[in-house]
Amino acid sequence: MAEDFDLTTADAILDPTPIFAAMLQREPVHYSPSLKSWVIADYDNVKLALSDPRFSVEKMSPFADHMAGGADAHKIRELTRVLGGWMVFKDPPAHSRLRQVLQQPFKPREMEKLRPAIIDIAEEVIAEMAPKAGQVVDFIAAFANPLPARVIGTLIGVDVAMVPQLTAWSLDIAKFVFSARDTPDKYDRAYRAVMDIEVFYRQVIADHRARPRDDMLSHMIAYHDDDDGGPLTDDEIVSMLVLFLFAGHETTTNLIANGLLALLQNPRQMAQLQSNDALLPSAIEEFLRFQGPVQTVVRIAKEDVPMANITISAGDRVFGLLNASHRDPSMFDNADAVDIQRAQNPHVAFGFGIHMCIGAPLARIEGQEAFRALLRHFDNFKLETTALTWRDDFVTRGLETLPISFQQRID
Amino acid sequence: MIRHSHEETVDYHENTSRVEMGGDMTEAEDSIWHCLSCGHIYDPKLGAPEDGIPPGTPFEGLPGNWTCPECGVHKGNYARR
Ligand code: HEM
Ligand SMILES: [Zn+2]
Repeated sequence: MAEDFDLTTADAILDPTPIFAAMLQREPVHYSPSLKSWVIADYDNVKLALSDPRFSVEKMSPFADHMAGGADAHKIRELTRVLGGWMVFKDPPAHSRLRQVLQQPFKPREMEKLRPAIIDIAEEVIAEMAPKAGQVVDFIAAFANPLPARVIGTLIGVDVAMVPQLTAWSLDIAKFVFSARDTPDKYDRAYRAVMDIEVFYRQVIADHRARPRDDMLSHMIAYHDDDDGGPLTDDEIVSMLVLFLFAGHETTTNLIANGLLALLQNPRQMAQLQSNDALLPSAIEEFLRFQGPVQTVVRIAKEDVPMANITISAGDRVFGLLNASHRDPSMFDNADAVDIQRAQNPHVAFGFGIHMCIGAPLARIEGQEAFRALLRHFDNFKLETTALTWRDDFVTRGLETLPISFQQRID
Repeated sequence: MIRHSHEETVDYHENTSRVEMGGDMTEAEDSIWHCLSCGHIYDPKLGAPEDGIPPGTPFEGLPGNWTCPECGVHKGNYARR
């Protein structure tokens, strides 16, 4: 009976929405023999998997999977020491303690204080891109990648010039954490990246200890809560810094690039946004819904959970397809259309429940200021390819490159 | 079938809602609203003192550019409970 909806074919990577539609219509919760997991597509059950305490994030960490040993055992142990502190892979109470440290400084009110710096960064990246007006440029390399990289550098309190190196390291780590496929030197590269990143961050931490300042890192160093197990260890801080870069860079790059693509493919939406920047907040939400940067989240059932007409058994793995749930017609009117004026837009692009993205307020500001700056300085955007290249991984939704051309605005 | 009726929709650009234009004002002003993105509750009895919004401010009376104090989403993404 069960169909194996294949999201890994070339066609599906180009456009997964027909498969999402088929799942939603025929089998919104189904077992995939190839993934050895349940796959959830409908909005209500995706939200349930995200927020119900019967689902755990702990055992799905890549570290747990590979603990068996073998030639790479030592490298994996070291990777686990540095990356094992990621709150995104921890259930309460361990999760609560780590999240508590960041709850306050990541609140929208605090992040608003960064908005002027984010506007400056957007203007700076625009100025670097401006001389390329009239040529074909890769929008990702020229804008969508550097903007969030510089924002994260500023947020953490590291020299922005270091950010490309940090990004390169984090991509090597990403392959280890996310890639379903086994690239031959995946452990080696991730291991080396983690060792290098650790040396770098330990210096930065030492420097911040000696001379505290008003940034996220100083806050993390100073944090102390007697009820909750004392201050963070250096291992925990390094782990969090790696997580920020990891969780907050490429995701935001993809929000900006997927958003521009949605506008390029929907000229009337582009025109609306160009003529009214009060639409920026709802436009960003629509970009997050229409082509969310995180395609899927993963959970393990801790006990039997009845869902739809089946039962997910304790120990089973589930994939919650965020972007499929965004096309659920019972939740979203005209779900396959881009509508930057959608007032209510309860997408789950940032997740939901206790692990809901702590960086959401920051990502929202980045998205808004990115598009405000782009549309203020440039116009006549054109898509300069007929063959888009999407990254072929299951977890994120982003383009390899986005070739465009544009003109400087003269008015 | 769309579960959030448009009666509940607040146009955050203009800071008006259909509720203000008709219906039972008192009931509307007492209403508790929740953020559809993160679940944050706005209770008019409490207001949002951290944002300088005094207790007794109905949801409809919040500034058009007000955002969720937990997740930063715009005001339009709230619905009445
Ligand atoms: C558009 C950009 C972003 C998207 C789409 C996004 C998406 C997500 C999602 C879906 C989750 C939940 C994962 C799960 O439940 O398994 C998450 C968690 C997280 N995100 Fe983001 N994120 C973005 C930007 C950021 C930024 C800018 C930062 C930080 C600087 C960040 C830091 C985190 C952290 C630390 C977590 C773990 C939270 C926890 O486990 O409690 N994210 N993000
Ligand atoms: Zn919220």
